[in-house]
Amino acid sequence: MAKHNLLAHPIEWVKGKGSNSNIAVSSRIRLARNLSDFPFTHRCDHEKLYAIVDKVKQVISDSDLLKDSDVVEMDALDSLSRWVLVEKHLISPPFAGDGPGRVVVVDSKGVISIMVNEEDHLRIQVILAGLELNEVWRIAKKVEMTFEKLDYAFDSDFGYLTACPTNVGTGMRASVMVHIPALEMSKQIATLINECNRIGLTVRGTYGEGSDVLGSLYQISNQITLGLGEEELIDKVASAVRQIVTEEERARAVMKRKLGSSLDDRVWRAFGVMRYCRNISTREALELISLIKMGSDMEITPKLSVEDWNNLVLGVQPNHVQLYAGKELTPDERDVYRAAFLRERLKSIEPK
Amino acid sequence: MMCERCQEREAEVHIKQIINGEVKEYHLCRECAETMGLEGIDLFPHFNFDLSWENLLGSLFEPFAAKELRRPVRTEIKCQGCGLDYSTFQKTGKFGCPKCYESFRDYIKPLLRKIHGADRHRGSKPELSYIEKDATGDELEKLKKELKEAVEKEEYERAAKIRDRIRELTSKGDGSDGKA
Repeated sequence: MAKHNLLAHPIEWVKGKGSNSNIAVSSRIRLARNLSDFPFTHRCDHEKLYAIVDKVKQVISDSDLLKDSDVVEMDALDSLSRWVLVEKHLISPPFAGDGPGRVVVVDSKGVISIMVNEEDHLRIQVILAGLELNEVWRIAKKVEMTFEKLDYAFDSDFGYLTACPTNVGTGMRASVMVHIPALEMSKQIATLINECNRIGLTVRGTYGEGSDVLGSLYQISNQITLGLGEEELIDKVASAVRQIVTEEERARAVMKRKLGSSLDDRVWRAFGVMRYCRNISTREALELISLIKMGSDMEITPKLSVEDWNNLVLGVQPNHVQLYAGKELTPDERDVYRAAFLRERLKSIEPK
Repeated sequence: MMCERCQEREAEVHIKQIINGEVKEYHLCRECAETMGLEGIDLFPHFNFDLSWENLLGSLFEPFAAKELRRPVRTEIKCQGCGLDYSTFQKTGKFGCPKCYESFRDYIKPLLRKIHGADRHRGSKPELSYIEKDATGDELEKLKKELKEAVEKEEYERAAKIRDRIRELTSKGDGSDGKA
């Protein structure tokens, strides 16, 4: 199995260095941009796709900010590697299945990733740990301005032009991943979704559009991209997330008071299963990881740092399990290796 | 000419009736025409007033009628840049190239209002000076043309919006950043 360097690339948000990162796991901004002289990606032939790739590569090699980045042709990666990148949130699920003429760029710190020739010519993405949307926006804008010399498709009425009218205007999606097991257990998710929709925000699963919610991880993002400025959109998401963090903390306090020792029991049982299981699905693993993270936050189970937690969440994903095993696995085999991975990791957070 | 019915008053109502190729002409004074009408004399056979009235109203209100009624059929419109037609866009939900926005401008505004609740960008703009200068120049020309058209068509609300945008653009040189 050919492993690419990119799979071992450091990723900044995983370290968990950001405000409120116990609950607001990561902040992400994605900017969609297109070059004015080319059709949108889905109408480009090979020649045009590679012409765009060449222009982008030129800008990267001239840029102080990006010159040390890894620039990787998607064609050079096997299917497993591509899906590992999806699990790491470096590329989108549709991008993993796209044809030739696609390139992913990841900066040396693992903060910035750029997909070239996804639905739009450029999808610039910046992720940091915690609720740090303002800093993420500052970096994203800086990267975006680096590529401005390529002449973005822009219209004074409609703003930045995108292949899909749902992204036009700012071309920006600002999202925060939140870990809210207590709100989930107290059946408040439907209310949360309604409240978010009412103010123009969307609640999605862990891997974006159409994905499942696993391990109580939800993405809160702006629904519209046109008619409001970037800062206004960011403020909306950030203030909603601040409130969600407060609500989650309150729900945890209520749960502790009401459930008492039965909550302790539930969290410790999760710990026990993870420590001794021999066969476990992704879904169950993520549920247990969520419980012991909450248990750690509430000082029930041993301390689990945000970085260790993020590595557990990534490590149990189907393609990361195969990376861990060093070979391709059937789904049944994955469940066995996933259990082995969890047992090994749990040793390092053994209770004293 | 005298009224052919009473032969007393001047004929003021002239009716030419053609039924199955047979032409009949009536020249009547007001009183006689009214009387004949009241008496149910068939002066206006097969004359469907309701239908005609509706057509008439339609043409009277043409400037206020739904946009769809005044414009060519959507499927006939193609993007000047990439040749994508509007019906294909409606099917796929994806534009072919950046010029599609220009080609379909008036059609996509209602669509954008539906998706975003707005049809005007209020966020950041490209900051490279040469782009900004060109864009502003082009836009000014375009806006001036639009303003003239709007005034000619007596679309004053639209004209006011265009005028505001022109002011916004031309005031940039005075140190204003153009933000509302």
